[in-house]
Amino acid sequence: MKKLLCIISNNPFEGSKVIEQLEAAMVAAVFDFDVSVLFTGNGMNCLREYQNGDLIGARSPGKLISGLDMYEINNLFACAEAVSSQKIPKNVQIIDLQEQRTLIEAQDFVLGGAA
Amino acid sequence: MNYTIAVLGSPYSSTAHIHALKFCTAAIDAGNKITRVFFYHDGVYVALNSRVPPQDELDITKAWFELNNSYNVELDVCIANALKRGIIDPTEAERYEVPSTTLAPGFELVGLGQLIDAMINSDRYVEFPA
Repeated sequence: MKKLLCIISNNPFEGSKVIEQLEAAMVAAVFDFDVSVLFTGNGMNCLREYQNGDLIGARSPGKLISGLDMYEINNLFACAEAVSSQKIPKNVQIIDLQEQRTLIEAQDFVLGGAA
Repeated sequence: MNYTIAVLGSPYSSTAHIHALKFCTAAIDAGNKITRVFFYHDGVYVALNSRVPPQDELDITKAWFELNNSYNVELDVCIANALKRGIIDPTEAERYEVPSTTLAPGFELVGLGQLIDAMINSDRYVEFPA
């Protein structure tokens, strides 16, 4: 099984970049990839509770993230250096930069997405 | 070596396309094969046929078309990303009852599955973000 890591580093409502990245991750999972998702930098804001894209006519990445397990995407990681006081969902592992390096090295493909 | 390329940056607010074009040309010149270039995120704007670049700037859409024409490189545009950015082919124009089409010659609207399929069948996947 091919391994693919999707690195999300954009804010949740910065255009539709995060949504489009998550869609690519879900399609890869449908194609039997072993998909992991790493949230880092501004992408950490995608893990915040109570996202309401309806207020600005946009889809909420949080809803897609909470549904990733339906695509058997269960390897969710957050950057330890980017964790502030925010609450991280229980199914997301917090990993430091060395662990992120190891995670990236273990992949066949990395979808970095737009900066 | 067989490469799949993904271009994610906008053609005129990032250097993604210039870098990707130069990479493709160099890779082909070195004897490698580029089967497919996949345009995603704002990278799809390159397939908009109504853009008129200034005369003293590179016409990036034309440059990709020439790569397609010369080396048979598929230029695949994510259909979901394209439709919401106003890039539409005759089939989708009919489906959504849009009065005109805006997909540039040489480009094709495809699903995300084409990208994943290309990645599976390539030796290397190279991404050019914004």
